[in-house]
Amino acid sequence: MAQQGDTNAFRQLFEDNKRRVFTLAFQYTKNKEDAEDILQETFIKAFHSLDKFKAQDDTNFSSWLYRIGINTSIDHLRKNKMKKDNYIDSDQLPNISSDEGFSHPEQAVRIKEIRTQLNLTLNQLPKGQRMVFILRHYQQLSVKEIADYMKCSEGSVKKQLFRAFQMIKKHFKSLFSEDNYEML
Amino acid sequence: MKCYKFRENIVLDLYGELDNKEKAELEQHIAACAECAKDYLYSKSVFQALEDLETEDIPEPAWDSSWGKINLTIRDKPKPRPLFGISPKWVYAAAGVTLVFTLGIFTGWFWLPQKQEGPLSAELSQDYIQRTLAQHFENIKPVLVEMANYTAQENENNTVMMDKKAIENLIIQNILLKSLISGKNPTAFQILEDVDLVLRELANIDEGDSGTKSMIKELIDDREILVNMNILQQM
Repeated sequence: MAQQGDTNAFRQLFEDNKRRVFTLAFQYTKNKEDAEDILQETFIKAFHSLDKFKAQDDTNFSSWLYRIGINTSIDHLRKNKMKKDNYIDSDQLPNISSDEGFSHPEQAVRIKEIRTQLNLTLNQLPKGQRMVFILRHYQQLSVKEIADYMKCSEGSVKKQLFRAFQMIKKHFKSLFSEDNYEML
Repeated sequence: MKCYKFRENIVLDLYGELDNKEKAELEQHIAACAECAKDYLYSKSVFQALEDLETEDIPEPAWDSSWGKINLTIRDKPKPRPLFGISPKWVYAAAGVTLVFTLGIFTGWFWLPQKQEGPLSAELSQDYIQRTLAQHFENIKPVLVEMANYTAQENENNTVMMDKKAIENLIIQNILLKSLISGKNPTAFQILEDVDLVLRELANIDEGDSGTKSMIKELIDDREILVNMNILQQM
């Protein structure tokens, strides 16, 4: 029905898939407004490409849409990179600095420090590496699934995950003691 | 295997992406290589720190507002209806190829030095023109058939949508072909004249103008354009 342009049917597809697409976009951009833009752009692109989508045994609508969401997120960051060089602003990050849930205030401060460092590092990663890390670490997709979504080889995904993790390790050096690798 | 490969496998191991054999090789290497063992410990600590981060709060967007914007866009810009299942990009491609082909013949005909017209060159030229004409008719037919089947009752809900640029390309091809066959093939020339009229009307038509669409349909029927095209192609 949605393939014939029925907006009510398409609304249902939006309802079923909106949270997954938005979550990915937010984890990738760390910015609510940008994530909303990506969400809208993803569904508009999907609507205009419904003819190209043919339900097959191994491809359902959600997977197809998710792939559009991945590409739209990467494109969005590429387009906005120039005007937003300091893309991840720690002031815009979700509020996780409250002491609630932590037995020691220092622990909360430390967690915030790690998260800030992680987000700053992710901001410096090439867009592809950043997406691979988000998909593996936050979305918990396997290397094979990521390769399928991003239409690249598993070897390429492994390399990108490794490079992303190496960069994180490099930026985390200051947070760990050199002797026993416990947090300072 | 060099340490670099094991460094990569350390990360993949943390994410559970190694098979048993690779894992055993990694453990064996770490037991023998102090640098890799150090890197393994540090990588594990960083991985653990990342795991310990609580799941980031995902803000709640204004879903209704997002849907509103999507709905507005997809309503404002409905998908163009393909001509008989032919995607507009294929119409563009076919029109483009024929246009280039026709322009090539046209250029050659008027600007390149003309040979003394012998029987062979005359035959070749006719052959080229015939093929170009056939290709042109093939490009135009879906548009004509679409208009020939138009009924006024479907005017609002089932609008016949034509791509203006594709139509303009067809008009150019038509003009070029008319100059090529002028005085050589009166039957084909007459068909191209009729097609020219139809295309020019289509290029200027407004979406809701059902009167002009009906007139175009009558023109196609009265002058038997499609029938004449078919007869000429079979000759």
